[in-house]
Amino acid sequence: MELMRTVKTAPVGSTIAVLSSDPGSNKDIPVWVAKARYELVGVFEEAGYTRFVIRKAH
Amino acid sequence: MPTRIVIFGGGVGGTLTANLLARKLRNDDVELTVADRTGKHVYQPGWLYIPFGQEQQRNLVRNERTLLDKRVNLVIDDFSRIDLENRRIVADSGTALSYDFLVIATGSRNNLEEVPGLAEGGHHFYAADAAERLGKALKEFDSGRIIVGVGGLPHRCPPAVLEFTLILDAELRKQKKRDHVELLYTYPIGRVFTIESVAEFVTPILEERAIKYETFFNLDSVDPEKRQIESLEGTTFDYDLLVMVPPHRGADVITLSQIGDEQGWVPTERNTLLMKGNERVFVIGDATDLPVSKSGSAAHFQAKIVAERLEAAVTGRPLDDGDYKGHVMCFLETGNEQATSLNFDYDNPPEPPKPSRIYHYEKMLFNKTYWYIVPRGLV
Repeated sequence: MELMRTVKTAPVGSTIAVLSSDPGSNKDIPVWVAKARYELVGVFEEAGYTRFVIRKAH
Repeated sequence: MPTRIVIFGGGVGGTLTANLLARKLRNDDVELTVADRTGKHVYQPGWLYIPFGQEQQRNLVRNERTLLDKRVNLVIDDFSRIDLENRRIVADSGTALSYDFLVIATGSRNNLEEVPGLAEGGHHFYAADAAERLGKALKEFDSGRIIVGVGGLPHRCPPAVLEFTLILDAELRKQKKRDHVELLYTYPIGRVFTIESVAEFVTPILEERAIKYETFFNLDSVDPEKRQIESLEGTTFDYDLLVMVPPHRGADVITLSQIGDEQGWVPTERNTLLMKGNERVFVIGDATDLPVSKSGSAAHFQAKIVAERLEAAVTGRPLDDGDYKGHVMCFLETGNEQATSLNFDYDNPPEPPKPSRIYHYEKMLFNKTYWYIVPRGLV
């Protein structure tokens, strides 16, 4: 939800990084990004969390 | 000098906290005051049944005074500011209540304005009047698409939207209208409910009953003229009747006092229920930013913890445990006079048993006896 709210208010073309320690995010975030037709630039495993980088494509 | 405890908000959490403290502490030790803006105590879980003609608004309201122990003062005024620095709450009239300890139990509010067109184009059952209007609309509805969904998270009584959908399906079948009505349920995240085990439990029930669902639907706007809703994800649906749980926010007083987060929830320690960074202020019920249901049930369990902690603070008695572990216990109606129960805490998700009439009647019994058992702390 936090991600969705942030993306909603971000300008088109901007890039947003999400840090999540919730294992469910690994599935949910890519599915949501695809559904919203944004671009998943990358998923990076860090120590204790995952970093998702998303571009607001439209 | 007695310790002054002010409880701001006369809902489930505030009323129960006050009554438990009145019973635990001696008059000489403590001065207990409930501050409330209306003086009316509303049993909000009853709103769910109004649209189906199974409950009436007048049964769901009592004067707060009648529910409070006589040793508790009740001050009704337009309290609009919490002044942490000077340890007092202040009303527009100029009334100020000073405290040694404060319990914030100010609840939450609907924020329909957050979604363009929602107030004009949608119905809901998160207020008694709105639930009555929805009841009238349902009575006149014979055919078409009804969309039931959630317009923003978090919101009060999370299972209520599923309960509404399942009861609606059952009622339409009883009225022989179901063949002419398409039911569509929308939810903001990637499953039909926030708690995974509940989503897994209820998804097959929705499918069995031919209730369609759309997940990752974050309501962005409503077009009342075209009768169309659009999501942040770019999905649109036409509707003939729209029932949307409105986005929720913390009470205005939290925002005005600048003590909450962006949405007006008060940052709260998850186990002690103290306001973060403040040893004299507790927060319970919807007002917290905790990851538990915004529900009377959560407030009920939290009130007991806060009362225990305040008793210890006033008397100097050591705490037995006094930690809140996120406990919530509630029912989930599945229609046809059946229900299941959800019992969970921070670490243990619910494992809903097979729906049965027993849980439904337990819920009905609880709804009727609430006034006598909950505010007095009998359960």
